[in-house]
Amino acid sequence: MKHDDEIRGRFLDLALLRRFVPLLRPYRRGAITGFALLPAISLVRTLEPLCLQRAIDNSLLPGRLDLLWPIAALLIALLLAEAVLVFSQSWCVQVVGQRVMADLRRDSFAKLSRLPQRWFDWQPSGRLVTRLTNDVEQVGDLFGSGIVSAFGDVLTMVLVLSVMLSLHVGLTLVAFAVAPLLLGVLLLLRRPMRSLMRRLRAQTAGLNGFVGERVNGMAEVQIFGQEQSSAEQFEALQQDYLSAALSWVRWETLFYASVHLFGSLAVAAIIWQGGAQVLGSHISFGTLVAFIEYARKFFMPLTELAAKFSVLQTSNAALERIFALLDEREEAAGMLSLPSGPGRVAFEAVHFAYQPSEPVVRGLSLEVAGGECVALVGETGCGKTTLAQLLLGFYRPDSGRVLVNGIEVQQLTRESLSAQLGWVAQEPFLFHGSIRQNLDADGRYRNDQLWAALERSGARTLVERLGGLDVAAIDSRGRNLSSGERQLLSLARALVKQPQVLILDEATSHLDSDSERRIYQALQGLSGQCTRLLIIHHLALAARLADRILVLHRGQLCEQGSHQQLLAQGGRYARLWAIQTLQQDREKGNA
Amino acid sequence: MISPIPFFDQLWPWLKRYRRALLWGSLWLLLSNGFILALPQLMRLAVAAIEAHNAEDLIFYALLMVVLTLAGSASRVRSRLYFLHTGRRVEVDLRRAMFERLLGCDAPFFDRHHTGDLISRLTNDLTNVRMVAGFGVLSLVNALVVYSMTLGWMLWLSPRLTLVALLPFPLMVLAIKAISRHVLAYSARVQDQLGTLSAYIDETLSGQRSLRSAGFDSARQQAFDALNATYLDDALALARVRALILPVMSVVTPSGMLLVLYFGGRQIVAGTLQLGDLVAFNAYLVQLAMPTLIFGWILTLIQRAIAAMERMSLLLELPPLPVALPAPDNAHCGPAIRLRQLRFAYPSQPDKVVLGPLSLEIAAGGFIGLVGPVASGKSTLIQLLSGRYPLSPGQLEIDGLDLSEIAAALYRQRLSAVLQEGRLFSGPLVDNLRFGAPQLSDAELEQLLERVCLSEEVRHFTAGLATPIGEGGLTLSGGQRQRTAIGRALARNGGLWLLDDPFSHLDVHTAHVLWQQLRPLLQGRTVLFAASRLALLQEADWIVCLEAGQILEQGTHARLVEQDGYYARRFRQERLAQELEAL
Repeated sequence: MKHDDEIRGRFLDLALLRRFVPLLRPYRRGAITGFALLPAISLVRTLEPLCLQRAIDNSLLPGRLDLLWPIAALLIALLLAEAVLVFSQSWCVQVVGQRVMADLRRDSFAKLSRLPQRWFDWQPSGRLVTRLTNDVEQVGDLFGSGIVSAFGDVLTMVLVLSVMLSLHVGLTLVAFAVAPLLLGVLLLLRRPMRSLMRRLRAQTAGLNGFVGERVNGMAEVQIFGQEQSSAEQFEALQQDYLSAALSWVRWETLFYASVHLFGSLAVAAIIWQGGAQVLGSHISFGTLVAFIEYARKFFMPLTELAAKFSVLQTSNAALERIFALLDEREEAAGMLSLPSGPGRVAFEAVHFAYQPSEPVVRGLSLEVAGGECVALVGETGCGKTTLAQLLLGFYRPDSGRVLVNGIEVQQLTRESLSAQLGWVAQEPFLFHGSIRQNLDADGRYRNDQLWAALERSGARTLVERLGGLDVAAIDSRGRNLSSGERQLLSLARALVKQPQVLILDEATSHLDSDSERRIYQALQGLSGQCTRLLIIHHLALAARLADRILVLHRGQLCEQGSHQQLLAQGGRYARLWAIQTLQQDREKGNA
Repeated sequence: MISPIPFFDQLWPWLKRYRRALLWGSLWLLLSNGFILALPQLMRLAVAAIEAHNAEDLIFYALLMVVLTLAGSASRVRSRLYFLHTGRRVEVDLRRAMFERLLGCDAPFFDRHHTGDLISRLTNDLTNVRMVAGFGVLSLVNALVVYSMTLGWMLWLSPRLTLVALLPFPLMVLAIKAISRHVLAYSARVQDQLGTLSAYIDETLSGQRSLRSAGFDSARQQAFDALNATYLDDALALARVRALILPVMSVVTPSGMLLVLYFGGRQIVAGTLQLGDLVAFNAYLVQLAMPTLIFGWILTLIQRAIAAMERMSLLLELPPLPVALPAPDNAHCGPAIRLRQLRFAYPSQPDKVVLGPLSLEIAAGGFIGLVGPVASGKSTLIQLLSGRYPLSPGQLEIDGLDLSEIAAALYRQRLSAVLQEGRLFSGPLVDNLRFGAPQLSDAELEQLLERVCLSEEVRHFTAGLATPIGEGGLTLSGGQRQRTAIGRALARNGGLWLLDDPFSHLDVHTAHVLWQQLRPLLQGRTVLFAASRLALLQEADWIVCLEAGQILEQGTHARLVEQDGYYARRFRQERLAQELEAL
């Protein structure tokens, strides 16, 4: 089970880095300070063993304790300086990292609203949420624990090495005689470790996938009595995982052990050779002690650097995914604003398919005059809802044109489209927050305007019951309201902006007949002011409300006219009517 | 800070199986530290040799150091392997235990807990516990060994200097304790904020069209920016306290060394201490630095593992999976079923009765059709008969025995079911067909495919029966999935057939052909068939129309048509619709 969230980042990716660095620009002072403090820290750290050397050579060995004081004072100062510097440096780096993360989150979120609807159709929303949260978090590590501290480690190593060289070239060479060997071992280990890591990741993903699938299909597992066999299959996956995990542990241990081992060997070599030098009075005893300290200081960052491989790899992969999101092609924005008008709507030879193999709208043309009330009817899957989505600009037709007041929808700005088209969806969506936030997020309308819209949509009593406009009464997705209540509020949201065109997609399917009647009265009250497009399953309603009924079949307009005309034609509409009348008989029979 | 003791009590039963490995690991650790911590002693001797200008001794000590280092590293590797392997093994054990307990859970459990939440217990939470079970235990044991050995050596070298050197440590402990309290508080807040942020993004994505048509985009962005800013503030506060840890930790050991240098230096000058002792002493102090650093980190790991273990115990405290039972002799016989005033409400909504009171007698081998609008209780009745919801006694009898008293494992061997949203599993198609009947021969499989009208399509698959079908049968069409599910049930060959609208994705023609082929194979089986297409039920022995969980009308097809009630209307409607389809 592989998907693109699997790690494939590289340790060092220059192209990615080139793109990452400009993100730091707004915080360059912090970033530069973070970098600039590193040499200071390395310097302080390299000075500390020198103090030790002086203390031993100049004060302890000759027995001059009075000379110890200034050196001790210096050492204390250095220690304090180190603490302050380390704190400031890591603080700077964290601030920059966190701010870059906040920027990435903001930009990615903004990007979402500029992407075409089609793109979302193919994106599991869970993965997008992960991209904006987990992935961004990992990028934070890229700067803080990654680039900067790797730079710091390298710097420390270089400084340590140069001090050692300046102290004694021969001894330095002895100490690092093991270095090429270590490097060789590390290179040798890297490749098998990487492939093992991949295997381990794939196996973990496989295990998790198996659990998810069995939990979702638990009814089948239990009804077919496959608990034991599922457990056995799971165990087989587990054993594969275990053997990979155990050998991963072996390699990893070997990896750290070799770094450790070579470090210790270097110390032994220093003592051996350096001791002889001290014996021959070529170097002082203090130098020898300092040398041992330095060797330790050299191998510590080396271990850290090795550990950073995986951090960098993970965050590079995350960054790559975020950049991929930011690079997605945006929807071309329209430039025109919609002229005020009666809200004429036209479809001209429109073709549309969600997937190329399955056309949904097939060469459909229709016109709706300003202020007219039109009902779209037809069986499920005939393309009614798709027409609404095309008109709302969510999708673009594959060919043909969709026009409002004679202007193509895709040439209009999003603002003017949303201001002039009102939509009540089949499953209306409300957001966590207050009624006001759900009706008027920008705060454009006065209270009396909002209440008027609520009155007309029949949601007034509901809002009063919920405690008014400004109480945070609505749960996420409007979960705490019934579908019918959601429809009423969603209608109020569409009405308050007094749109030129109002689109109702099965907007009363969840309502009791009382509320339904009220809504349609309101719709009749809009006659002449606003074009109304009703997508209706219930033909009796269509017959009562609509000036004209359009019958869709397989993505084409197959009949149109008034209810009486269509009945008289004896075609598709008449058949649909007959079926629904039977249904109504039943309802009457029940009542 | 929450006490880690109860956590280790919980963890111990899982570690106990590997106590031998842990013991060996500890012994190797002891040995390794013995070698490593002897190094400063050698260093001391080497220094003495230098001071005495004894080149031969010096070489000997240096060589000995190399040997000890090698031995120390080798035994360290061994000990790490014991501990870390144990961690992985415990992980695998815990995952197995949780998964097997899940397999034994009844349906209300899965109604109560979201899949995502359950999975995260088996993944994220488990990883947190594994870290402690492996690396955590290793580091704790190591810290214990290193501290006691080092302290021993230091005391042996010079008790006074030891006291001096350890002076900064209590200060460090206090400082770390204070810092970690803040770290915990802030990280809890940051986690919450991140949760809020995720929820907000999730809501935005789901309500994307509504937002767009309402023109709320910019308001939404502003609200997000505000949340983002709050999160940033808290994350920065957390970063600040975290940034304190490293300087505190890194200053402690050197300041100890400084103290040692000063006091030890005075002793050397006074002639009461050897230079080599001082060097060795310093080397010991250095040895303390690493375990101390790691110890702080382990503490935060343990905090996380405590929370994780608590979430995992939801699963671990369930009863283990019962052992499998042999198939009963009557597995292929259709049972007689009797519902006695059956009433049912889902445990999540105990006040909302979705079924009943319902009384019904079904003869052994009878074919019963279930009809009714959405949410009339058809699917619920089928669910209850699958035995996955516990019922109170006296409501449902199978062959005269109360269902609540029959062992579920035995009862289920009599079932063949095709559920409404029947799930297939990723893997080859053939594994799905053999799901309930692994013994099926290839010839029988061919026959099976023929019977469920799949053989033609399977022939066109690139890998035939071995074709992998993706998660939940992703790569198959809805109709192919349903026919596979029917094949799976047919292979199982149970005595009680539960069919919940199994042909909904098939066209009318295929559905009819399939059903005609299936009918004779179901002779002698008891069949409950909930259908949205009434034409399939014409041959049923008895048809039950449900509404709001109760029987609206019942009878044979002919009688119900005659009665001219709900069923008759639905039937006529269906015929008209079919004619319309043909237009």
